[in-house]
Amino acid sequence: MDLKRGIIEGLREINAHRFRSFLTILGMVLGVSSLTAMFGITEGLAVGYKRILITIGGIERVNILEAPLPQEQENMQESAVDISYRDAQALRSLPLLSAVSPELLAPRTAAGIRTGSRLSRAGNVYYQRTRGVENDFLITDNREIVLGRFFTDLDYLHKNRVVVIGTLIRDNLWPKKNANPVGQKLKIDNQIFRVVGVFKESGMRWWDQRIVMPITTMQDTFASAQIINKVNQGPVTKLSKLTVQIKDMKYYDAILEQMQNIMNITHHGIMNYTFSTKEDYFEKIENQIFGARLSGGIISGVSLLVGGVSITNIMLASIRQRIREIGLRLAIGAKPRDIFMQIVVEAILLASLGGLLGLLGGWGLTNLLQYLAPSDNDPVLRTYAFVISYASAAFVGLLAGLYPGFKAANTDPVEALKYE
Amino acid sequence: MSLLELRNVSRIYRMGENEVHALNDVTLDIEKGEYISIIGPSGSGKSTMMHLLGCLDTPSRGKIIFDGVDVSMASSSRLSEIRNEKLGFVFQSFNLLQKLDVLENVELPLVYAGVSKTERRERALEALHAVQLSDRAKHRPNQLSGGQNQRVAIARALVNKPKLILADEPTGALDSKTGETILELFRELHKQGNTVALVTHDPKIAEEPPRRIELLDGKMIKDFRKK
Repeated sequence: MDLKRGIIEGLREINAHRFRSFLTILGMVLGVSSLTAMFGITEGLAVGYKRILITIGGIERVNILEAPLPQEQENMQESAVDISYRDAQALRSLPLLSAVSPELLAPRTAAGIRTGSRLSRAGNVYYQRTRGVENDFLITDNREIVLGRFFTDLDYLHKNRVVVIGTLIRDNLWPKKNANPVGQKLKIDNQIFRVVGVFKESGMRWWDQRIVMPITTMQDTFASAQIINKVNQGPVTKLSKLTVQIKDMKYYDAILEQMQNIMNITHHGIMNYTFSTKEDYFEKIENQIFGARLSGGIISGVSLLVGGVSITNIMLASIRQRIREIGLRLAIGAKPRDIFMQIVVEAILLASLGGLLGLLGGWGLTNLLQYLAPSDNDPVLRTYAFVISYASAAFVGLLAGLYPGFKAANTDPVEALKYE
Repeated sequence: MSLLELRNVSRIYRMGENEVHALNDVTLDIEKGEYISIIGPSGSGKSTMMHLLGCLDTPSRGKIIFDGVDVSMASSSRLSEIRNEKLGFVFQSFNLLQKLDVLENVELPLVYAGVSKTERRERALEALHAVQLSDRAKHRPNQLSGGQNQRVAIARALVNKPKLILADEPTGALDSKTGETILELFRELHKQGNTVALVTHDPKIAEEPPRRIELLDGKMIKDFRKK
């Protein structure tokens, strides 16, 4: 008996007991669905992060962040100074840095009210925290200007009330499609600013809703409320963020060391800062994706196991029910291995059917997810997800059919034909 | 050389502590083209005899040579092959597969013989013609009468051109009139040169063939030939 014939007879058998077959493969359907969906979701994460990597640039960028003091320095808390504009100036002395970009976010007041965040124009309102930057921002944040210009020396000098905005902000405040807002005015917390430029669109929400102004304007307009004993203490020099870009990755370690030395001087040796490299960041993400794959894989594996067991179970019941048929087939010349093959093929067919429905289910599940919770990390289903999921189903079917197949093949035709 | 040679054949079953001699030291030859009946009351060993003749089982002691091949020690796979090539079975309860149509039922032995589809079709139709059921090829077994079912089963037994046709109470599930037509068919097959063995407990049916073997308590007590 050849394989084709085995498949045809197997399909007939499944078709003859449609409802039973359907119940049998439910576990399989769930297992393959979750496996496919898991691949889709993790691939979506990976693709999303890859896009972020491409957009914000590679590992040549280092963030300088505030950090809790190491234990042996805890007593020096009072003497620690903030990461400030002074650090940015000092780091600019390093020739191997191609950019040093200080950023100052619009502050929150003591009452928790965000200042510099309510953007409005002609009745359109959009909330987005503004930030003060310098021209190196274009390098460290990997930005391009598509309309207008970025800031000039005069903007910084005169603390001009000018902004450059992302396309998402433009689209919200200028609802007309592809409007050119350059030269037009908008309000930030009821203060009037003029748009001088628009950033190139990336398609990622968080990326396209940036709004920046010269750092000096930010200090002057929103962050100057450092008032002690009713005396204005002048602009805040504390930074929200300090990012540098390394010119040549060959000297990566040496540059980190040089930066460490400079920060040591400006912070009097108090280690209240840390260097956060993109390497750390992507390593974390890789770990996250691996974790998601592992947990999804385990869940799917358990469902597949349950699916396999229910197939084994039903095949055992089925050969008991068909024992006369098996006896007859043996009597007229079926070899034990023909019977074995027929049972195993049937189990694989059942599992494959479950696998196919599961692929459909997984596809539906990812689409549902995309529909219910759209994000920058929408699930992505690649061919390998379907291939691996389907292959696992078929493999589980093979395993599930082995024992019933073996049992059926070892049927004694004499006993089987006597069976009523 | 005989078609079938049984030499001091015994078949012993173990039932816990006890040994049951279902068949005890039987020696028998069946020639090509013979038409025989095997008769005995239940428990006489005629089923065991039929299983051994049909290569469904192997003897505990003794030797069976079928068509020149010693089958006493053959593996189950080898026995399947021999059954497929050289034997045709007819059962009391027909044993047709309900999910297959008449033609597919008749074809089944050829499927396991690896015969090509077109040849299978041709030979199955030929066998159906021999039992005068060509016009029912596409029916399901449950759409046919008992007698027709048994004729389909006989067609299935004929389709591989067997050396020996073994019929186990072939009229047991049929009324006497229908049973008579089935016996008529066996007579006809014998006339055409087939070797047929009929296993029965009914003396009237056992009268039918020219040779009659009587079994009792596992022993052959009579080997009677009509003159």
